[in-house]
Amino acid sequence: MAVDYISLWNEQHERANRQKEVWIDGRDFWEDPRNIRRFVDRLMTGDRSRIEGQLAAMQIPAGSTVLDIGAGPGSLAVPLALAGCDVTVVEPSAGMRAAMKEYREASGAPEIRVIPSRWEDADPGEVGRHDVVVASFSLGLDDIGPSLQKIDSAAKHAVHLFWFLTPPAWTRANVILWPKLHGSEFTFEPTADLLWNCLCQLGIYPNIMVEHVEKGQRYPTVEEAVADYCRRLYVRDGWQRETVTSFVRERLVQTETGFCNPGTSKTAHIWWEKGFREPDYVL
Amino acid sequence: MCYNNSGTSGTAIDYISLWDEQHARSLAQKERMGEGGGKFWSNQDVVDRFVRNLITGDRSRIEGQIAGMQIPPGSSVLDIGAGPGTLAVPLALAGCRVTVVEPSVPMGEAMEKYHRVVNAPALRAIRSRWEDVSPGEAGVHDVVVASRSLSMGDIRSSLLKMDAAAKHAVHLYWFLPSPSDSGGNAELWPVLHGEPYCGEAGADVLWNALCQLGIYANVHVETKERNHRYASFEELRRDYYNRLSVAEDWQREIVDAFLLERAVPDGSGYVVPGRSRSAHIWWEK
Repeated sequence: MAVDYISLWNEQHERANRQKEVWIDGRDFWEDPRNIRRFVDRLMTGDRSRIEGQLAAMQIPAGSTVLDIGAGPGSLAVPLALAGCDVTVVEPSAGMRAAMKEYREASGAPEIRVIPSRWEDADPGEVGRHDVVVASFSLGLDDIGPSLQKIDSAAKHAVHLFWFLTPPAWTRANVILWPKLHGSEFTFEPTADLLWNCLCQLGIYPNIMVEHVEKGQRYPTVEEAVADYCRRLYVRDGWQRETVTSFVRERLVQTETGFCNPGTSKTAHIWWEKGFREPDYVL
Repeated sequence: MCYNNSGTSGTAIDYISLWDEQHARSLAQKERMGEGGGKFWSNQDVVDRFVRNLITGDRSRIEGQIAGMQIPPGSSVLDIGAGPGTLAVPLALAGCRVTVVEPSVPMGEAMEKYHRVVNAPALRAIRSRWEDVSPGEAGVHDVVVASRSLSMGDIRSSLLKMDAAAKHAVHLYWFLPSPSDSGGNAELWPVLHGEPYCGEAGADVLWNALCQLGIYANVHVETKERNHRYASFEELRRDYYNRLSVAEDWQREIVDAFLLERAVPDGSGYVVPGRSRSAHIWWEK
């Protein structure tokens, strides 16, 4: 009767991971300087509405200690440090850490403590406990049971997770093109519904706020869009590139500032406060 | 629009069937005990106690629910399984045009009484189970509410009918399972009847069933101290006998022993302390 959601998550995550290993030749998406460059550019000059929405939804008081897991280029960590929070990030990618440093210095934000590690490998003693723990679009974690328990243990007051509730717009291309390019079905990471079920299974019953995302991915030029899709689809051969190019050209829509691949999706803000379940242990 | 992630999900669980099957098991168990067909909710003692709790009891939960829904005055509201008017009457007082769907005649009478006592504007009543109400009869309302009244079969049709009856928003309240805190059912039932207790599926299954229907709803989880108050130990005991389908003296002894251990005096009455968890599940259209 009782469904083991944690095993379901782990199985789907492993399938999604395996396909990355096969096609990426061991190279991480986040180690590619081109992907990182696009992230930082968007952070500095792009539309900040999503990040502002996230910050408003979390309502973290100034002066709080915040742990940001999988902080990337500091999308949330830098604004939080600027808003007076004492921020620690856990980020395994050297490229991302360099990007965050660049972003932090350019915005004049105070020092951020950096733990250069995957969350799964981070030492709880080194991580410490923080008023608030945040993980924004960084939940592609192994062994989800212990990973989530470690997140919960690191928080004194609240935990905020953001994750895809339906696969984001760009994965539509993967669903359609992956079988043609690689001869197998595309597996997306498990979505936020399963994440919520895992948390319930662990005895944590979090709140959920659903966010409707109207905008698809945006690009300054068609070439950049094609290059991004080729990267995400692990394209290596000429014939693959042709397939992707015609797919992207068919769907791309011109906007005032460039091009956009339209498509909507939903994301979930999953959060809980710690008051009810346990006393505030001192480590 | 819902994006059908076909072929990519390894987690295709049919939550709608899970709900329907669990509801059917729960219903079958109640019927075996002679408690089918909503008999519990038409028991005059139960109705009287609900009304008394409504008028003199702790109003914080109701106030929290009404504040949480943020329904603007002047809205038309459909309250499904309204009971004695727990939310419907305060909503009518707050300036909403309220229609209730409630199958139990004594509950309907209790609502009439409550509504007169507080001098609320008139409400429209549909004396029926939601499953049996036609969409035309239900009409379309700004907001649809169903509070602790989701003991329904064919949950797909029941939920889609709710969604179709709402112009702006739907608010559902339902319990979240917490095995240690069923107020005794899960503990006592097997001892009394030699089989596990079959409760309804919880708010977790409900939320997943909504996702399956392409409705991605928000969830707010509330943990509350249980505060349903009984006027006397006798009333408490009778309620437990009734809920637990107790018919024999040996069963009464077990229930009495349980209550003597758990119940605590509260002013001139009794409560069985504990925590219960419930979810406010809502979506805008």
